[in-house]
Amino acid sequence: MNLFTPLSWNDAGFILAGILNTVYISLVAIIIGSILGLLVGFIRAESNKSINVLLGGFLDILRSVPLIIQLILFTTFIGAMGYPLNPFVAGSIILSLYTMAFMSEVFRSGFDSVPENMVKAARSLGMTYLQTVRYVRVPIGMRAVFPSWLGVALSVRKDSALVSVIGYMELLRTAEQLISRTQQPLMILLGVGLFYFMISYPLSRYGKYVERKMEI
Amino acid sequence: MIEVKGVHKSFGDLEVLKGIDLTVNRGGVVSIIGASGSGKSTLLYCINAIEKINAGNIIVDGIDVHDKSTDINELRQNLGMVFQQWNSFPHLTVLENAALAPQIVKGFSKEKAQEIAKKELIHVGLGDKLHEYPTRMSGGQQQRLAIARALAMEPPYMLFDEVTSALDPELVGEVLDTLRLLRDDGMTMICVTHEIAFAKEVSDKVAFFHEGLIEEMGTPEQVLGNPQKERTQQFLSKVL
Amino acid sequence: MNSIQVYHYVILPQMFRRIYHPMTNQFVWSILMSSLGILVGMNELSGETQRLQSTSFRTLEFFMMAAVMYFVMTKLVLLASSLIAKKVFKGELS
Repeated sequence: MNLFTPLSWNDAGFILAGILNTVYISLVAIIIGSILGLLVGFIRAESNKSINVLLGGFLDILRSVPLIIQLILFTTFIGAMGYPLNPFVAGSIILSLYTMAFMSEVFRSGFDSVPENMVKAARSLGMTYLQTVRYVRVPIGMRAVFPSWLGVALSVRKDSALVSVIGYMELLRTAEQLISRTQQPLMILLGVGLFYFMISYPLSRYGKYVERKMEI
Repeated sequence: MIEVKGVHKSFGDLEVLKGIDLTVNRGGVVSIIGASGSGKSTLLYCINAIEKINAGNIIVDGIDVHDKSTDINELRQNLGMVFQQWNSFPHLTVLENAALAPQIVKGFSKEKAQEIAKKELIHVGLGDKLHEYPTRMSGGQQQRLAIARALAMEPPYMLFDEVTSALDPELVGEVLDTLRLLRDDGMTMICVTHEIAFAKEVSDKVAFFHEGLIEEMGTPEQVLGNPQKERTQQFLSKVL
Repeated sequence: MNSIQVYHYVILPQMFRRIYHPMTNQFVWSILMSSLGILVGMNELSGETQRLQSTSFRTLEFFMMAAVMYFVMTKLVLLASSLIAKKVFKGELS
């Protein structure tokens, strides 16, 4: 019996599932991370120093401990507590929190970029505090930081590959399994790399384009 | 009627307003002049409740602005305010800029809000810019947009805080023309300004602020034409 | 000034100043990314942690220690960088 079978078209479905899982967990992390990041960024832009130090310290830990360690720690921890989660849920939680840590800084600088006078002008028109947030600060601040947001989102999509270490069948892990069967690492990894590039490159070009357009 | 009675205001240890009394009747135009740091702008901010006051009262149409039970957001609908910086909302078109507040604050339908906004924009001479984005316009045009945006709330009073100070000299004229237009409409206005000639032309009453107090107040002819106080004379000789 | 002097006295000092903080960030980033060595069996901090925990099965404790060490390392790098910045960029305003 031949132990190693070459790559064939039958593997396409397997690879596609890996691709979809990568896209899926990235989207979940980007969406949840952005929503939480927007909230936390707003709280940080509005809060006094002591709350900021506290919150900043927590976010600092999320940013200063490598993602791969966070993933291993979290799964081991919930495993030890007796509530093992499936790899997708555990990966989503950590990846979302990690994304939130970066997004909150992006959004915070967005909120800070809205001039105080513009908010005063809005209030002088009779808008309530919440209305100025909803109609002035969020739309203006978020436009200013869109390119940075896109940058974080793209790097999250690359970081999602690390979720493979806790057993989630995303693209990288799919590729690893194919490699161990076919023994064709170069070709498969090149294909995987090409896929990441094909998603990232047009998007980052788009980000540059938006950035240039907003400078005018 | 806007009544300012014995208003004191401090920022920390610095007392900026040291007891201001001022009455503005409906249809009246009051200009406030004085050196930078004399408290002129602060008074406008206090009237619009952007700044709190330490003592005294400010009454607008019988409502105490700084009373705790006063709904400030409702009160501000009666007090249009235009700042030194025009602060146009960069993400909205000119029409949307002016229609936003009527729509979300007064709860008008989008159509009705835009109709009012359009009327005011045409009035200030921006009828051909309705669908432009404000960042593409000159400072003078953006300042006129700021005026139209405040007018779209249809306030009985307008407060102007040095609205021409941040403009290039060649753009000052068009904004002053807009203010003249409002005066001719019978709008009640308080103008903090450095444009002495303009103050002389449009005002019913001129108040000269010096170090947190009204040093001299009266008709433009009295205060600007024949000032009695030494400080007023000194100030006018410097700026004229 | 000739062009070498211009580079020496004007352009390079400003350039260095400008890229200093982005460079520090990139440096911290490299430290954190070195944890990926675990995937290819390198003996860096994560890889070593992995090896030790696989002999003792105390995964949580070992990786917790690793996390603390990464955190301390990045903080030390940032601290050193800001101290150097204070010395080197004395008297200059951003």
